[in-house]
Amino acid sequence: MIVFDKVSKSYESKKISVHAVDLKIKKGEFVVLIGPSGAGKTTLLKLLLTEEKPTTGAVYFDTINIHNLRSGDVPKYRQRIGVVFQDYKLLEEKTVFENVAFAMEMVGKSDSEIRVDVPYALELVGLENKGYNFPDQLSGGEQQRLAIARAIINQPDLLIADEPTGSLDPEASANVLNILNKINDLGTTVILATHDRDVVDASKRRIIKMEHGRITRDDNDGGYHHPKKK
Amino acid sequence: MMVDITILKRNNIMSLRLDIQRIFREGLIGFWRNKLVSFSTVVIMTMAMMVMSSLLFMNAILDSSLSQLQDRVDVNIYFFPDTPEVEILALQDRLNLVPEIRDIQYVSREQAFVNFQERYQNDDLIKRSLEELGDNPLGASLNIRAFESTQYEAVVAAIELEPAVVNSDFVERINYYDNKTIIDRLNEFSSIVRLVGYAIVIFFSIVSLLVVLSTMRIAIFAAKKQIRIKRLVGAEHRYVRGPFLVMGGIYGFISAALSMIALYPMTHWVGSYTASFFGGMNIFEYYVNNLIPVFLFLVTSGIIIGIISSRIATTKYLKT
Repeated sequence: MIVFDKVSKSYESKKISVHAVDLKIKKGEFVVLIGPSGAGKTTLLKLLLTEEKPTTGAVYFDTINIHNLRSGDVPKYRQRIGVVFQDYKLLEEKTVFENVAFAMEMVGKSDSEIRVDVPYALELVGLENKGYNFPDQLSGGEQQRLAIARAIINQPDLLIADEPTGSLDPEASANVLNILNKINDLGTTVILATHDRDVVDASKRRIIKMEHGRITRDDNDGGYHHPKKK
Repeated sequence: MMVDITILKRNNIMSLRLDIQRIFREGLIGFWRNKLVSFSTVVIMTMAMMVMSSLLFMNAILDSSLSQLQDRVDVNIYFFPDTPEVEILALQDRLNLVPEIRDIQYVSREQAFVNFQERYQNDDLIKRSLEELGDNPLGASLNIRAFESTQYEAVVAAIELEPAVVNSDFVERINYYDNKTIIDRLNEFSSIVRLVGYAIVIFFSIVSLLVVLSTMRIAIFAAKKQIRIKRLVGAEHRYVRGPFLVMGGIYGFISAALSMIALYPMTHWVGSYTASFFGGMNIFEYYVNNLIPVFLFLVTSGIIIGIISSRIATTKYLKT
């Protein structure tokens, strides 16, 4: 379903962020992306969201080279992806309810569907009483949960979560992992980029480790440390 | 295996009505929630519109003053006192057929005498001279006005073709040649003043447009982050840009309405001065008589300027 074919990304500063990455992720898979800061995880996710273009190589989604899409088709592609951004990227001028509703409006859902689905999603992430609040009236953890609600509301084909447990306590982190597992059970492919050792160990999923822009580990061990290095 | 791009397009049948409704709602909410940005943009646009409408009013005053000046220009044919009135009236009828001539006023000998007496009623010397003469020494005259001051040359040419005029027993004098220099200067002056007037209106309209455009750019720059986020969560161009166009339209409409309201007391105050200074034209009356056209002009241009400025300002942020 997702293929990175010898993808490299370097910036004008000549710093290579991603180097000749070859990666295949099957439909419905749950992949955990780990690695130290600056390893290239976020760049890889940006390439997948067409926020960045690869310097060389190509990224395919359902066999389509996503960087060859016409600009008018990019939004339609992005509507198939739910993203929990590291910095949340919430719409500050919209309420909690409207932030989630906006994602539904973009895919053409009716107002009646929005009125039913948004409260359900907010309840799922524990924000049912915050619908009329604005993002700046929420704590960091609440903002993160709002970002999750927005990302899953349309049951996307692919869910990208970049450090979704960064501001959460262990119990809330476990809940987030639980939500990601549930959405994955419904058939959504999940890519989770995280530093959180407990989350990685608890996930028991395919682990991809990046270091210095390269993939240095890709196995189904499901632990933060490589078995041979334990 | 090649897969057609259409598989990317979900079966999202978003009705046009729902689309427009949401874009308008977004625009209205955006206008209301960004009160400071909306307020400052409306203030700038209102000022720009008032500059534009003031210039239009100035042009109207200038136009009216020039027309009045041109109205005062005429060509007079003075006849000898013994010219039969029938001849003069026959000439008037024939000249009325000349297309360049707007109107002809016949001043009889008697009327000319009355006018003369009125003009010099305080001059004892002239009064006494007239009494000594005992008879009316003045001849009748025809005062001829053309539609445009540039047409006098043609009018005089037509007059000089008339047999009654060629016969110098009747016509004492035609004063066109006395006035020719003044008429020529007036023509030149009018066209220069009109040209300068239009140039000033166009120049300041462009300046106002640029000021509004810059204000809109700043307003939209403040929303740059929001635009980027909307794009990342899959918002299509029309959904990102549409609400800003609606906001631009609202700015334009409100600014036009505010300008109209502000122009009422302003023209009222300035009106009496313009009436005495420019001889007749009262700008307040002009404003009141042209209320609907002026309002339509301001609203239409306000909405168009608002929408165009928003469109230009958002283009930059829709590229990624």
